[in-house]
Amino acid sequence: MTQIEFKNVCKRFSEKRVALYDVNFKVKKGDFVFLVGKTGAGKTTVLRHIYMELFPDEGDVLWEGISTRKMRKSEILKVRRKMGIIFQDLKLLLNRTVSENIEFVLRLSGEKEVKPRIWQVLHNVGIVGEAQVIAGELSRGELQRLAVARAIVTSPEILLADEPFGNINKDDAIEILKILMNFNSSGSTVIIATHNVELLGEVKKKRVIEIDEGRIINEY
Amino acid sequence: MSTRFYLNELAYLWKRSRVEINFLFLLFFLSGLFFTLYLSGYTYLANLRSKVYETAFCKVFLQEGVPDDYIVFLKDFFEKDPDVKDVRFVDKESALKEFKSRFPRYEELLKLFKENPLPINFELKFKNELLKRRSLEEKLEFFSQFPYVETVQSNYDFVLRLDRIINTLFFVAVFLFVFFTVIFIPILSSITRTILQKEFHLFELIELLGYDTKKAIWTIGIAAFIPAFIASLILAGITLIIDSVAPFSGKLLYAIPLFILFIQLLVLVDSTKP
Repeated sequence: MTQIEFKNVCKRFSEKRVALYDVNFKVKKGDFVFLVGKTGAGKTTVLRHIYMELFPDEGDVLWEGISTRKMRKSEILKVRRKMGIIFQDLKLLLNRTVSENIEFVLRLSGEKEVKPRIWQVLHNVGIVGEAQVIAGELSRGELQRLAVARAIVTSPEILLADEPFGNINKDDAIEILKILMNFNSSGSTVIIATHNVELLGEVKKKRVIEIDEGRIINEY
Repeated sequence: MSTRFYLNELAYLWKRSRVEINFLFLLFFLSGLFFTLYLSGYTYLANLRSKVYETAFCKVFLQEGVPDDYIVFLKDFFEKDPDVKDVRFVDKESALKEFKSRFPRYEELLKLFKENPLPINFELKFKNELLKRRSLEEKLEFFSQFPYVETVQSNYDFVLRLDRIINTLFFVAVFLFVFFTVIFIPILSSITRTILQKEFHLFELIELLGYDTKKAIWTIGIAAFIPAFIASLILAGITLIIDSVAPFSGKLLYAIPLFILFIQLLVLVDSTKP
């Protein structure tokens, strides 16, 4: 089943700056997709179209067959609730503890069994020992793990990760990749935007979409 | 969405902004208390003035040795005056009796005199229209020119003095209120903005996570409104006490907590704009 489809998507931020140019691809439910390319290639723009922070100037982005441009705000919010997002700037609450960051999302979603879920997800990402530490005091690798934990704690249908391996060492990156692979094995879709191509070899069953200057230049 | 979430956020906001929130509360409470007490004083004096106005009254003091037939003439004259409601003649004994009953502490003073020093006098109650027309002054001036009249005293002097105090208080209050509001609103606005802006990043996150931000904005708005609400509640309680014990109606004082709530609401609406 096609979950996301980009059909001739073009996006311009200004006359001179074309962010995406005639982008076409499909993502099926359960896929593990790498969006790769240099910094500024358009990977984040693709993700922002998927979580509907941006809308195409031309072409269409379809979520389960429905054009995102035709969605009302309430429908957009409803679709976003099916997504887990790891933002490039993480958007963590740095003045709150690790567990409070997770609690924020769980409470927001109306989840009642909060404590066991927090413990479980922090255990899964390997920072259960830091549960009561203020997020602002964590290392970059730990912050990335916390961002992953927050994204997966509500068991979303699709996980979007924007540079989840940025500014961390290879071992931490591999650990995070394993967490994402594990999450994917439960049937959820995972889309990772990264410029770190070294890690592609770690994943066997995957799709890779290579972007350069807003165009898809390779897909396998 | 969970109510618990918003309660949690409310608690976080209170924890993070407790300095600003306490300062806001103190600002509201102390300024509200000042204006409540000020307005109480003003209302009390205004009420006193209107009570004095209820009875236009004067005393015509006569010199020593005034002939009895002249006293009879004066009494008759006063009684025939269309502006006079009631005439009472107070002789030396009655004056002494009255003095002793009104000023028992100073009774000993009278022993310093060989004879009763208190002058005989007429107490005149006027029809109140006379005070309102402010023509009492002319009447008193007229009486004071009668033979054997030592002096004439009226409550009009007191009313005039009271009037002056009340007018001064009113202008000072207007000045203070304008001055205070001009200073108060920017301070209030700045503190409220400081409280709210710490939370604006949450709105973006909440929306990106797929939830409506309206309730979150309301939650934060309510949190910033609570100091004004509590201060107003306490001031309303103080007003209630003043209203029940003071010899005047304190209904006007409720305007102060209401004004505080109104002004905070205005500032809040303005401050929620990112």
